[in-house]
Amino acid sequence: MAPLSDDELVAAAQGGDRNALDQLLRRHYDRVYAVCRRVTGGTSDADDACQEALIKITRSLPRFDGRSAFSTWAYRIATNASLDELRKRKRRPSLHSLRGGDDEGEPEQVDPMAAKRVDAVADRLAIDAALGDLSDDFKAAVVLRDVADLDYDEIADILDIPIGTVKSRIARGRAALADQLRLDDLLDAPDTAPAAPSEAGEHHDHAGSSEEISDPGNQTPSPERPTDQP
Amino acid sequence: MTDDLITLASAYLDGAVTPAERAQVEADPELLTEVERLRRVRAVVGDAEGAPISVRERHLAAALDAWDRMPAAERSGDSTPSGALSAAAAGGASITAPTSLRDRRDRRSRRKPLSSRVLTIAAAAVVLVGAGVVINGAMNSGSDDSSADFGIEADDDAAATAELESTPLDAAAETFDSDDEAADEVVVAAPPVAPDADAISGGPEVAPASSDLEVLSGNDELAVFANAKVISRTGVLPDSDAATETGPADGPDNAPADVEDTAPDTTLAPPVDLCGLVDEFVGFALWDTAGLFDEPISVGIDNPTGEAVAYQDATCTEIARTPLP
Repeated sequence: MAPLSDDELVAAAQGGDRNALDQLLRRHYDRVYAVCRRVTGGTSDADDACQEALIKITRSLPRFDGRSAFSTWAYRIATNASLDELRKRKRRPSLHSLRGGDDEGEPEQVDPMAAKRVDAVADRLAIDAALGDLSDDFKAAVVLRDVADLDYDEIADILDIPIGTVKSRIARGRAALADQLRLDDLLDAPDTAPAAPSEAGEHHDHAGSSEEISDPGNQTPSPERPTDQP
Repeated sequence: MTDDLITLASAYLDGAVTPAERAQVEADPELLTEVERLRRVRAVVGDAEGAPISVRERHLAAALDAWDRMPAAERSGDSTPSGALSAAAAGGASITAPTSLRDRRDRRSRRKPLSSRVLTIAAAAVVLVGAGVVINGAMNSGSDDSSADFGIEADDDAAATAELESTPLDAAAETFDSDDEAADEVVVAAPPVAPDADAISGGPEVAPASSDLEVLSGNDELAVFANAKVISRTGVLPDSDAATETGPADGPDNAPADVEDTAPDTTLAPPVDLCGLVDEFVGFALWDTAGLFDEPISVGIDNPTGEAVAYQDATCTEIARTPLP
């Protein structure tokens, strides 16, 4: 038997079918959690945000009118729950970051598998740190696109901003992450290193964009919020 | 690279470009390099680790628990608890103060589990049937046919039910009369019902005179009844000592949190078990449903949800629950 669609499960749940609700939540759980994980940047905060999001989804489901897809609606709730969580708990500076490249040297690893695990953890922390440096506006746009896989229209609807702004935020957010994660080093192209900051008032380089879209809570505050209109 | 070109590369990665823009990107090695760079970002950001199974199951269980706690009307989108509370407030309800989460949890923890309630009801039913058989056995001692006994019992039950339906208040008065002789007469007239009525209701000393009882035949009447009782109590509680110490209790926000425990309204709140189902008892009534009509049921208010609840206080069995009008 073909699995029920989201719409069918929503209708059944709204009719009181508990199993339908269970299926619906399970189907979308991984992405809801991933959105929370990426937006909050930590497992503890993600845990709380995801829990809150699922309960809100459940309690609001009877009033869900189906004007948007259930997934879009659910990720909107997850995003808002995550941003609320961030507002409640300011992130602490991460211990790991690939930025700067000024490591003095690494201790010798005897167990190669342990070294890989450490690297994996360091990578995750580095991604969390890089995302944490983005302002919430940019981070939400990038996460909704690259984690929740929503299209620009849906993101614009969720964040209540124009599509052009969505496109701009995603692009600049990704570019800032690329700079911070030093992904250029993994590419063969020779001419991709971040350029030196350009003159003030122009947004022509990655470093400049990165500064502007950074989270004021984690970076030296910039004088004013960047205009993210395209 | 300018922001415009980065945006173009990013849009290309997402497939959100026009044919002309696509051609522009594909003709420019630098733009293609930027696309590749952003593609890697998308890959690492999108590769979020999943939640451990234990965390996932805990989250899902909590969500389903929230669903289970939602009133049926709210689940179907017909009403919201906040709306019910507002309605109660607008109606001049002077209900007890909102309690703390801890108090509420304590009340909930005192609530008997469903299995316990079912067992209690089952035990009462066994006693009931046993009493009926014994009485019928005494009345038909010359007969050896047990099936005939049950037939007679059924006839008696039907007759008793018909009698109760024809004059519900009078019959109920007999059922809950504290006079032993009257009680015995009811037992003889309706063996399966009368003994159980006393057993479940906690004895005639708790049950009020039935002439004061309203007959409720559904959730609508329950809501109206509870609301009327709540409104009728306005002006009773504010004179209590607890209320004067903490200010006028003319609304939920001003009423002292412990008013329910320290200043019970003995006129309208006899010592019945709140059962963790309600926060405030408002009155007795009769429930017009076969099997329930013959005993007074308790009606109370569940403050956090703003719902009227009909229940049997002796067994802590919930009969009906509905938002206040």
